[in-house]
Amino acid sequence: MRILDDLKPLLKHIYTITSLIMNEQKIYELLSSGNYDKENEGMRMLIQDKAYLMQKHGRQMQHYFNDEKKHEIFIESIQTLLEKIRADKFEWRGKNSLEKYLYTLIDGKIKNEIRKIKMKRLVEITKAHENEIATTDKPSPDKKWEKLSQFIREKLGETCEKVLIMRYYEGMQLEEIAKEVGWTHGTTKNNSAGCMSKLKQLIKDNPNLKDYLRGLLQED
Amino acid sequence: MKYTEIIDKYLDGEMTSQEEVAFEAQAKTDPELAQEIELHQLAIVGIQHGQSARSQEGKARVEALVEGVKAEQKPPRVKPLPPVIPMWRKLLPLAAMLLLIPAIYFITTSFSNPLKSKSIALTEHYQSTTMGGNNPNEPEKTTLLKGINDFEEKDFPTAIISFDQVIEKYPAQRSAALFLKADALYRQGKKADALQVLKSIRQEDDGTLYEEVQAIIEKME
Repeated sequence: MRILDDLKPLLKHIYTITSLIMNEQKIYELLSSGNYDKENEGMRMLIQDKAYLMQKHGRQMQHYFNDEKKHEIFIESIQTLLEKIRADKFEWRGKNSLEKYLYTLIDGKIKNEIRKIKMKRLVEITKAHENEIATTDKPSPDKKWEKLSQFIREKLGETCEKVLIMRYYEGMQLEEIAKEVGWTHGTTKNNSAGCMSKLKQLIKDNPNLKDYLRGLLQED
Repeated sequence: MKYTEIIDKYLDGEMTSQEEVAFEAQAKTDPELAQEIELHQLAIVGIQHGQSARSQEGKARVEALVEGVKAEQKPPRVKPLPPVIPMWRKLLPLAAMLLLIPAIYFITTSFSNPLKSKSIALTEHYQSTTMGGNNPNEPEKTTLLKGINDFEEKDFPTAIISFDQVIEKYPAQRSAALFLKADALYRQGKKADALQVLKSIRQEDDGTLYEEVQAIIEKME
């Protein structure tokens, strides 16, 4: 009996690790099932299981964001994870790999939000030139955007669009993008900057698009 | 292209603080850079808006699931009402205090020795007047002092023998010896005997101890 008592903590630890791995595997299987209800079940388990990740991040970013923003980041990260799994961009590699990936996604979103804050500050600095930057009315939703985004996609090409989304929407680091796209680090850096410059040129050359985006910015 | 990389470096926090200051200073004065910054911002807004518009439905789905999980995890908590304490229980501590005060008074008065302070005064008086030595010219004081020494060493029976000798032979110190004898009896637990001795002082007293003895007798009775 004494030996059993001594073994209890060890057995409990093994049980916890095993159940975590089994949980992760089950979540992954459900999320990659392609079935709407199973995906929902997987996401529910994921939210229950990994909510503490958000709490952990929440502590780190409490100076930057309010609760609403933290919540939004969590939601967007789970949504992105599902999209990645659907697109076969994530492969389950055993213990904690789902958690680590979700952590990276949350991290990327946080960096993105911090970038936004810095961008706003930078724009404030350039206010000396505000006479050159015309203010516009809010854009009307949203058929106009459909046309514009179609136009952008055609002009940029699929690869550029993907890279820009990874870099500026998902907040991925250049190394991670390189791994996903299969480029070297240098190529990724050049192509990412090249794609961004292309998009900026497109905006510069199209007053309609520029006005629309200015309107979005005011809404934001 | 060159501006794009520099702006990204700034936004990613990869510049040193000196580089940041210099960059911000340039942004203030360089209209070309200012225009690039605006375009950069608009480009990011476009990318993010496009992506979130596309995943709006998916987000609503996750949002609903998160809310569901939250609701499951947090059953509505009803704040418990404070327990109702009857008035008699509220007054209980006060009643206990009121009972305790006379009890403490009774205990302190019962166990304190009413003769003690006068005994100390008497012993100090005789010790100082006889200077602690034997004086063949004043044998009454020497005998009394011996009794006092035994009394202080808590050898009460021996002290009483000396006090009895003084009471019998030396009328001048009779009252003091009686008083000290009463205290010696009291300290041995013989309260009735002590009371008797005190009463005898009252009857035979020369007047110096009368009032004090009277008060002590009243306390002891």
